[in-house]
Amino acid sequence: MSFKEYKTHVEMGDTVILYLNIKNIHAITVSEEVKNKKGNMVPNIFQTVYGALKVKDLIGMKYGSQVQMTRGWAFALHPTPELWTLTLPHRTQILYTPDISMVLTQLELRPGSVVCEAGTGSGSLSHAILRTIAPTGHLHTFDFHEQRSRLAAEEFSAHGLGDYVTARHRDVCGEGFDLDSVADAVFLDLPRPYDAVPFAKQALKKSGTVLFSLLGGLNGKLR
Amino acid sequence: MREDGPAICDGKNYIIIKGSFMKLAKLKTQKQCQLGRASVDVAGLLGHPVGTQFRLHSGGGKQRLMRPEPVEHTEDLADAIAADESAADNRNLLANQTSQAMTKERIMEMREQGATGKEIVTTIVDNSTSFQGKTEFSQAKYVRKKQKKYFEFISVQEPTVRLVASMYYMQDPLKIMNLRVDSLSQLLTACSVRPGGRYLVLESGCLAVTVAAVLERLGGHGHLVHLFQGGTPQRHAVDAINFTSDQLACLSCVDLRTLMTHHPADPSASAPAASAAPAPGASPASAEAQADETVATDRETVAPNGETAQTAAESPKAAADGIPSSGGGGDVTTTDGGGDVVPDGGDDVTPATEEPTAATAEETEGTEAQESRKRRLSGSQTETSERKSKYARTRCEDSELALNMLSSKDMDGLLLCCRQHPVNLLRYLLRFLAVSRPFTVFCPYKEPLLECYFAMKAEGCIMLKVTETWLRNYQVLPERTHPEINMSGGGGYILSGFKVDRSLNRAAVTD
Repeated sequence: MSFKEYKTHVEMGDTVILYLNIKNIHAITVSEEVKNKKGNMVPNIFQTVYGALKVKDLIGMKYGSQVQMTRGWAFALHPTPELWTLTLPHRTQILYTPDISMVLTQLELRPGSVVCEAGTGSGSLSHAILRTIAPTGHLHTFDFHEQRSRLAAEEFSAHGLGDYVTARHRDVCGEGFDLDSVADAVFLDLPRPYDAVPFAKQALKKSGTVLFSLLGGLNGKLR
Repeated sequence: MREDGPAICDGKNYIIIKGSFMKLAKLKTQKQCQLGRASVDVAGLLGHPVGTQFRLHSGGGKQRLMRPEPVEHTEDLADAIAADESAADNRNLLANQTSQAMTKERIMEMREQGATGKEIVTTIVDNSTSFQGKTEFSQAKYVRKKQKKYFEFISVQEPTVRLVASMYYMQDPLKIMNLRVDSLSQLLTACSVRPGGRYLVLESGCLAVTVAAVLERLGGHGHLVHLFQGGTPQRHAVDAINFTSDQLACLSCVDLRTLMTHHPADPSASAPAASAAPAPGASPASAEAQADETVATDRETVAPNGETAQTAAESPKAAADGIPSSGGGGDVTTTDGGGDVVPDGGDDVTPATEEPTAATAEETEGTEAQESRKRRLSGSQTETSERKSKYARTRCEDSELALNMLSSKDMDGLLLCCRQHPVNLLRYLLRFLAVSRPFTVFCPYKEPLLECYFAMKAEGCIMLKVTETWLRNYQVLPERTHPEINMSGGGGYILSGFKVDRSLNRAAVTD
């Protein structure tokens, strides 16, 4: 719930960014218990090089303060999309903050923007977009991989962002966005973005913009 | 079918784009819009949707008044003008001055007679003896080059931070401290600017580009305190963008000296290169320590008089704190004119002994001795509030609001983008930032940021990074895709980090 707005103290269900050092940052969901690899619920204890942390002890702590652990301490930071990008569980290769920043600027995103994104991937860019367009904008994000689309939707919901995003399992290159003249911006990070272009055109308002990601190489753009 | 976007309106700002040339203009019905050597008849632009492309038709005559006609697509003449013949390579091409039969005068004549760009370029191509000897790619390049010169398409765009910042960078990067658009975008994410947040931006000498950028991202929710140095904050980019009054209401400005009067820099710290610093710092601190009410009443009595008395009191303190006063940013007017009441700065001892009473004395002296200045200032204040009626508050109210916003010392983000060396300013302004919130500093040079890096590490901040981004433009054409030959080398550097609370453990930082 801490992605929606800035808070001062940790509450149950929050995502806390635990900072040990510049190379050692982790996102922790605050809960009493957590599911282990075998599928059993066990007490949520996070192990670090500085000792063990009983995650539920974070509740009530002030964001930005030091967290004492058995062999040292760390910092509990309030999550931001930038910190989430550094700590999120990767299901795909993600976009990092330098590229994300340019996407947000070039698409001229601001509160109230309606954005289409394909593919959702691991939700790195999605979180940054949501932060920028809330509370009056909306993000329509699509991924052709069923599990990834579902995981992303669960994350958005757990982070309190569910109202601002619609995450759909859909192949936009084959089937389009199923949207007509609603988007201010479309972002395509696909193996074959040119296939989605006509659908993007339909989804866009007359005054909207499209952006391609070229991580896959320039060959795609030429076609 | 598809709903048109907003229309081009009279009296609003727009960015006119002609090829790679961008210009900011306020479109007024009775006026013409100057675009290089030609001028455009504004009446033909109004009413069409924003973003429309127009073809300019020569109106003839000496004025070169162009009449715009909306078009659906622009033409790339390189596709339209296809040559029958081309060579495989350039082995037979000779570089002499005789291959073009058209003279400059004849081309001018054609232009004046109202020939379209396509006609002119076609004529030039037809009169070129070497054209057939060029390769296909070379022919396309030639046509595009000619097209650029005789290009007659313009488009009218809504000014956004992206366009305005790119325009300023293109016109003169030094005016905005080499703040390239990609660096600007990094600043916004480094500070995690979000609607509803409360941000403190110290900007001087950047034509208010960062202020406009944060304001755009706030979208009417949240607050932005623009801290500036000198007499007037820069407003260029903020004025260029058609912000609504709701969006502008989020912005309040206060100058650094006023802020430092209310929140003096740490008196016990030995500020470098400021021998008089401890003493002047001590008295307001002790005054504040006595009772917050005292300061509050001081504020109240001072407030009706505006900044007059405050600026008089601030001059010695600001100078003494070793923070250089603003020199950059063309439009800034300093209010250093309070020469009457400023004690001789050269003598270090005198301020120390005078200061305990000086603080209040100067304020009262200020009200009496500065009557004429006060009248002048309040005169300009009314001017200001009349001229800038779109701003919700007068300068004085604005200052008050900004100070109130900062007094709780829990801003969500701190952004520095100033021409002065940032280290002392950063050390001072960090106190207004809440814990677990980011700060970021932009500088056209790396070295000051390295000093800031170590200073912030000493303050106990974490996640400190100094970064630089590159922006490389590519020519994208089939079989000819490559980076452009020239690339911008200077886009500035960025320091970012997080403020944290180390009160649990004051031991040495180990990361």
